[in-house]
Amino acid sequence: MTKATIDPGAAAPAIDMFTMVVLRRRFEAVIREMVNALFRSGRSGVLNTAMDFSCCITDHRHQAISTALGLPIHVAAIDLISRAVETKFGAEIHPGDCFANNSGYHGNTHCADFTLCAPIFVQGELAFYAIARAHLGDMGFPIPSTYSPLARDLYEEGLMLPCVRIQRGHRDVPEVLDICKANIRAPEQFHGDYLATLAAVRTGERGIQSLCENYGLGTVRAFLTQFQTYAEDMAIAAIRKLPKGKVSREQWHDSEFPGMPDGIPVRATMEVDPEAALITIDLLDNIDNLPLGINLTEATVTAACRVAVLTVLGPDVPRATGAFRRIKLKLREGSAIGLPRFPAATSAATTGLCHVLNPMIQSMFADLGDNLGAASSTIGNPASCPCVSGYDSRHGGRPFANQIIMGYWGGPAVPGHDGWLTFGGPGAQGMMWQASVEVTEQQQPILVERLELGVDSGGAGQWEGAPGAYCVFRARDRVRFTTNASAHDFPPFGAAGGGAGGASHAWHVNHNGARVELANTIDLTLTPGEALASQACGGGGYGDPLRRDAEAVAHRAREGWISLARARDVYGVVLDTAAERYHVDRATTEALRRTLRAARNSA
Amino acid sequence: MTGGQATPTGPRRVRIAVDIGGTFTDLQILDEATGAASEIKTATTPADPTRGLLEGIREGGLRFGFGPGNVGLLLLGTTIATNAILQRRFPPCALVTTAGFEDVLEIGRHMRRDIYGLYAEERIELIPRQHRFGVPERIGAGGRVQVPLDEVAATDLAKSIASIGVPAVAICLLNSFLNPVHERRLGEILRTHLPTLDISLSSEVSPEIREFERTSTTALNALLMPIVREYLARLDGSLQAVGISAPILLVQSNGGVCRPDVAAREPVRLVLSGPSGGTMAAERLAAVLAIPDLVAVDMGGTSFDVSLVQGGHAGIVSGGEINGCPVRLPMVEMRTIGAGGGSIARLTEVGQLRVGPGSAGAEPGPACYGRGGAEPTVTDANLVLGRIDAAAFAGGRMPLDVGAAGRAIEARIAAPLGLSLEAAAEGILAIVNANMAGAIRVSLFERGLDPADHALVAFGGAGGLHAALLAEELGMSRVVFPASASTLSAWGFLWSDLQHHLAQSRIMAADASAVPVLQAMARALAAEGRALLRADGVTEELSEVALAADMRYLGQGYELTVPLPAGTVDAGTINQSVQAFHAAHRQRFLHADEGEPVEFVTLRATARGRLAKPAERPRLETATAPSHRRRPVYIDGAWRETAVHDRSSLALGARITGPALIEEAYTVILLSDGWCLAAGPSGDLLASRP
Repeated sequence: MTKATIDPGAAAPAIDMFTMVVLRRRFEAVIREMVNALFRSGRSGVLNTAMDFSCCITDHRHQAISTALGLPIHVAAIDLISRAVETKFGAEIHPGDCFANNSGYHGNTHCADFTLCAPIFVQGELAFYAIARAHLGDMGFPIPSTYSPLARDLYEEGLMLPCVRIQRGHRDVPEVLDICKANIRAPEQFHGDYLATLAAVRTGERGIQSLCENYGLGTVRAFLTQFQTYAEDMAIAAIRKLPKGKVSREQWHDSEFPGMPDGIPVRATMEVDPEAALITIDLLDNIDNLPLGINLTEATVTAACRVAVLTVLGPDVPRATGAFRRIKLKLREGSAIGLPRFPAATSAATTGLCHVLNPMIQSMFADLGDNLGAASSTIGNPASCPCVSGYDSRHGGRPFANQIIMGYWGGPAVPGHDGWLTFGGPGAQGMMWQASVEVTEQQQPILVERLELGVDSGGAGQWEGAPGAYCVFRARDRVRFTTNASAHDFPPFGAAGGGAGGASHAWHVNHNGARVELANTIDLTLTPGEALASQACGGGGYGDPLRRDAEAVAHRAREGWISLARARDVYGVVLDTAAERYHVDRATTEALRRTLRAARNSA
Repeated sequence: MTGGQATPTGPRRVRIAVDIGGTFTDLQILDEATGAASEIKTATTPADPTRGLLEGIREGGLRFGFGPGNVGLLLLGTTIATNAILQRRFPPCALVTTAGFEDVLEIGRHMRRDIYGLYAEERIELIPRQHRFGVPERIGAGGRVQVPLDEVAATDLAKSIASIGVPAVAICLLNSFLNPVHERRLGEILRTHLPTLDISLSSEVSPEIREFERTSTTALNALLMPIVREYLARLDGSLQAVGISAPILLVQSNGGVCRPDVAAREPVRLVLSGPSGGTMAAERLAAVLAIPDLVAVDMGGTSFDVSLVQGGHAGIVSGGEINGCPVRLPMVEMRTIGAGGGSIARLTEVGQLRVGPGSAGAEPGPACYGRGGAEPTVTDANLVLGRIDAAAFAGGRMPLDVGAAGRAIEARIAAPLGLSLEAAAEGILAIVNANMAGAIRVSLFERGLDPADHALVAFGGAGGLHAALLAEELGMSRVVFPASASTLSAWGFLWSDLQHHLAQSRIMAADASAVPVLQAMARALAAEGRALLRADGVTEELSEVALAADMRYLGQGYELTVPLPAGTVDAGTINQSVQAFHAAHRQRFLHADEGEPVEFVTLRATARGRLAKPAERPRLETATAPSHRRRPVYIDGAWRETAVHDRSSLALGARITGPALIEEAYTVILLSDGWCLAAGPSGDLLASRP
């Protein structure tokens, strides 16, 4: 094992495998430390309870070292951030600088993701970038939300920070912070979140510098080159095992745009070439930018595709730039599912269309071979994940602005496994923490009345999608709720013969208990005693429901996840509820399944 | 309970601390008059762990000359609760929640490890949905009753629970940490209808905010009640039968001990009973050796546990998790990874070497055990490099097969990589060391601490071989190899005290307006702590109650615990605690904001009843004849003739310079180049390097 300090910057010999592992662990420890700094000290609930943030390190050539921590949609294309810094500032990047970026036109995901990037200098040389991305509780949108699905262009969205210097010589550039505080609701909360995000990048800077002191920059660079090659080799090995083929697919997203009343199409063609060990995803045949906030950004369209492929390639492939080299994307500027053309709005680019695109690509693998791919998970943020704001009379009218992540479930069924309950959408993949009812009630003047599994809301299949949440928020003060739900008209689709998950619904419940169903995009101010009720969509199923193990059906019925009617009509399983609780009636079940199959074939 | 008062006169009294592990039952026997401590190791009897315990006491009595009547106090670390959770062996149990929140336990918070995996990682379903019942009631966020408890529904509930025939029930209602009135009433109603039911109320087990963590803790408590109660009754019977009537105290996850009736009521306190011993031993060592900041590492066959001692005190956290289940009760802060002597080395598809987290365990064990294990392990690597003596392993009771170890490494690692056997073996060790160093780094960095400021305490069967190399990797310059390293947890228990941790959540601004509420809460917690100690039979002068507060900036989701100054709570003490919070925040997260409002979340009290203890007698007093052999050992890329010492022959003041091996019955110490080791009067060995 070589551990001697080598002249920094000098070319180093090949790194032995054991040092490779040691250095990889060191990098991971630095990133973990960044995550910890942000999580424990972040100020808004969406950071410190939902963990809606990510940290990463890229090298001077913008290669991400590990994207294994954080939200997939945040980190899988985080290299665009340091690229933007280099493109814009070039030779003017100095030690102690830090740059803020939330612009979808400068490599960021969406407006509410506030991303800080600090260059890391090692003995005078720009060697790395530390990056931390945090979804803020507010970003100064015209309405108190962090998504604006109906925005017609970016001027109807929040404050834009198009990759600007926010620290120089480790000191704040006060004008930039003043602009932020003047535009963002709850400026103290913003300042706390800024400090937590800054602490993460400075922790990364310190950690990487100490690592380079121990090993020498030359050794560390040689390690990184070898490591990216290793990641690429692992991806090559995984792609070589996939079946060869080309698949095209179209799925639909709910539309609130009068110009497209029947829905918004999302299309892709994917080619898997095991010999060349390459996966190509062609998104050219998609519609133009819409006058809506759901247009994708370069960061989200790229991350959505990379994540979809990496989930199929398996857990042994390092989540690093080297692996991403085996994925080729064909994107078009000016397309809603491509690169946005200024000034298209993109503030909902991490949800909406992104929530359709990513699982659609995963489901396309199911067409290539058995036991590949996945169904769809939650699409859009259901009304149980609202942005809430107002003034809390319990604390002398103190303002609040936050996003609550509650009941963000609906995991997709995958071959061999039922959907994961608290999965959420594909941008999160279960990485977001579910909010505590008690903490939510302390932080906002809201009473949570119910939070339970929606019966029959998971998509049927040999493997079943996870159910969606049924949730009721009652206002104890005037509270403004905004949400960007979807999946009402087009619920999460199944794969390989599995059924769709249940649709999303939301209702305004007035003082008398009367319910009025709401549209996907909600901006609703409740007065004390009124409520918002939400049934979130469930995940799609995978495989033929008639092939589901009858005992598994009985178990779900016994546990109350599915009704007896669904067990019989969809799964063809007859349960004897008179004798032992929910005993499978084998003979009747087999007969019923034969009948259902025959009916399906003749149809 | 009279264990709190050592009797200086009268018949001879011994205090026995017992750690019942998976393979061995370790005993430390302290003569209360002389302060001499002795150790005994017997085989664990898994079917009835008490048999192994009694056998150890009998053997100890024969060897050290005491009878059942001389046993004055028994301190017992037990894995009964830990094993029930790890093996998921629970009796059926019901859970009662606020109506509409029956799924809290199933939803959880977050359980992901691999962000690109779509599969759910397996979780224990503690209580199935058909055994979870909602009852109409609601306490609001201000602690006031929003919806009164529906007593008719509660009575119907008693019938439903009777019909499913469960022996235990957990009750966890929303916001009950603020107002337990509904939980208590519900408990009464159930008890009236079902007098034999074991009932756990969340407002008693863990009265803190966050319903999922509280429900998980309370559900585990309910599930463990029948198991632990029955175990304790059996233990008591067995001890009585052999004439031991000494009081028993059980080691809790926080390192303190409690009476059996307390453990029977709140068995979830015992989940880390066994592992906490190593940390308590490190705390004791910090005092004995006057080294206040230590990193304690326990490396056994399958796992590597890291814990910390800071300023002479073991690191305690307000909660953790076991087998994926949150347990929100104070416990020693411990990070565990899958790394140990049995960790398996493997090549990935593209020829990358990985070590652990999988382990060969005891069966089939490492290849060198000759029990059919074909995969190379860390122990095999140490053996082929000459660091372990094949003939002397486990005190010579279990000779190892060097050839088998070499063949496994050769076939699976060295040949595919085109490396020599020695290079492959040293590579396996480099990787397992990197994994362990990573765990230590995270444990320290999370608290804003630097490894270089700490000494490493290494124990467990494999600790001695890796400690010096780990210290080098981490830039540490001191390593402690404690005496009786193979029964160290039991030795740690020997010095423990009675402890009760109490907590109460109440979110409020940390300013003068909090004085009346905080004062009342502090008085109530302190009074409750003292009452518990009185019930333990502890006198006033041996009792102490310390207060601490969990605090955060307004809006933050996680708290830092800062000690509250002793005495009455007033505006001054609140101001001091706010200053302490800013300082702690700066230490841990690199920033603090003195202008920002701070809030209290949870007030904590630690009531400690000190058990009288004699001064421990020095273990090394006289020099014995040094035994000294040499054998070739592979270190840093070369075979070298290396000095081999017997630990038992090291005299007070002996000094050894690396490279060297120091062998004892159950473990070996490897001292690499640049290290110098000295034996102190306590029998502990301290290695240092410039």
